[in-house]
Amino acid sequence: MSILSLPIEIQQQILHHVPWHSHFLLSTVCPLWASILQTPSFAKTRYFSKSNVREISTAQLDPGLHGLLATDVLALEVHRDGACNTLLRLYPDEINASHGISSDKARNAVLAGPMYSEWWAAVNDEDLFATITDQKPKRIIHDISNSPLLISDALLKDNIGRTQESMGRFPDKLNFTFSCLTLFRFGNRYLPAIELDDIYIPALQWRQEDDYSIHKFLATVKEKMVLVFESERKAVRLWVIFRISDFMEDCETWDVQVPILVE
Amino acid sequence: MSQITLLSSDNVEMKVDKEVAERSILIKNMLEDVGETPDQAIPIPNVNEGVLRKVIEWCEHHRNDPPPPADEDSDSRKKSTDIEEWDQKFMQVDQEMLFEIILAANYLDIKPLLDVGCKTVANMIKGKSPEEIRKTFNIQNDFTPEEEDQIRRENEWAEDR
Repeated sequence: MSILSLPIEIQQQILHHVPWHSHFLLSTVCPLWASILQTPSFAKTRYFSKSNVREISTAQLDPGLHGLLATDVLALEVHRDGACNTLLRLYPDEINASHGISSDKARNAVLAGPMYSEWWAAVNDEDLFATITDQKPKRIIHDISNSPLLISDALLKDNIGRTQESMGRFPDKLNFTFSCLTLFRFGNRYLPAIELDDIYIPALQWRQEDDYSIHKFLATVKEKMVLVFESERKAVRLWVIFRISDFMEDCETWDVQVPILVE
Repeated sequence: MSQITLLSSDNVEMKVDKEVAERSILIKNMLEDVGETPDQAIPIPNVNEGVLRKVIEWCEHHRNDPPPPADEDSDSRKKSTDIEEWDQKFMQVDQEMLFEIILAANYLDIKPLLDVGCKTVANMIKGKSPEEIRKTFNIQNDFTPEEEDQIRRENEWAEDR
């Protein structure tokens, strides 16, 4: 007898005991689990209620955010060739903690976890990236690019437009839409306040020759970068990791668009 | 204390305290329907001797437990993965037996035991990569690109909300 030969309702009960962030991994185990985890009863557990995100203390966040966006477990890894991997980053503590506590507590543990609190505490920390990269416990990273939940949850679609001409080249133009929350965090962390007016426009576009400050910012962070996107007046957070260090030369236009639908 | 006799699927009779057997809602209802302690063994056709003995062992240990909450879909029951130490040791069996216990608990309608079984399996899943999970449960990676597309198309429920 195997686990897959158990009645589906029992498999559902088993999967209900697994934390929401593990759904993305489990959905790639087998087609049956992928199908089960895409049913509404499971999908709803991946959304955070308003009470679950109140720790963020910002009016810009709407209730009902998807867990991937309300916590810091999501990252995109954008490669120079334009390929993009969706990553799930979990501290070992987060995984272990959810062995003995309820999923609700596990969720809050994620929100109040070390990454989260340190991140906010580090808003004014000039040496932010040293803080992030050097002092945090190692995270376990899973590639969930193939998880069907990314599409069925209708929350995140990495839609990186590439033309034939731009293949293999890193862009000199990125299109993002920032939320007020982004403005605050983005500005406070990385850019002098005087530059914000130039940067914060609904559809942000920049070019190497137009706005060196952005490139300077990107160049500064090189390995890691955090962006926050706004979609349809819904403020959401999206963590993006760039691992491109030499993008400054031979650039062409390349769009990074992450349409995120939040119910 | 009155006892009843259970008959496993492989025709082995087991005497058990009525109070213990009534941890099974199925058996409890059967006894209530009969109205008195039956003289004949109660057949449990879906559960063999080895599994039935394990189930009875669990019921005997938990004979004085309060009944589970009336709300069968209680979130706390559904989501918590806390398992008592005794139950953890009880569930230290091979996968075949673990799944058989879960099936028996489901058939006999012993929800607390079913919960413990499901939580045990859930804990075996947690913290593992998909490949490790497949290896643990001997699951074939039978995703094909066509299946993935099919699953995605069939389950885009969010668009209907």
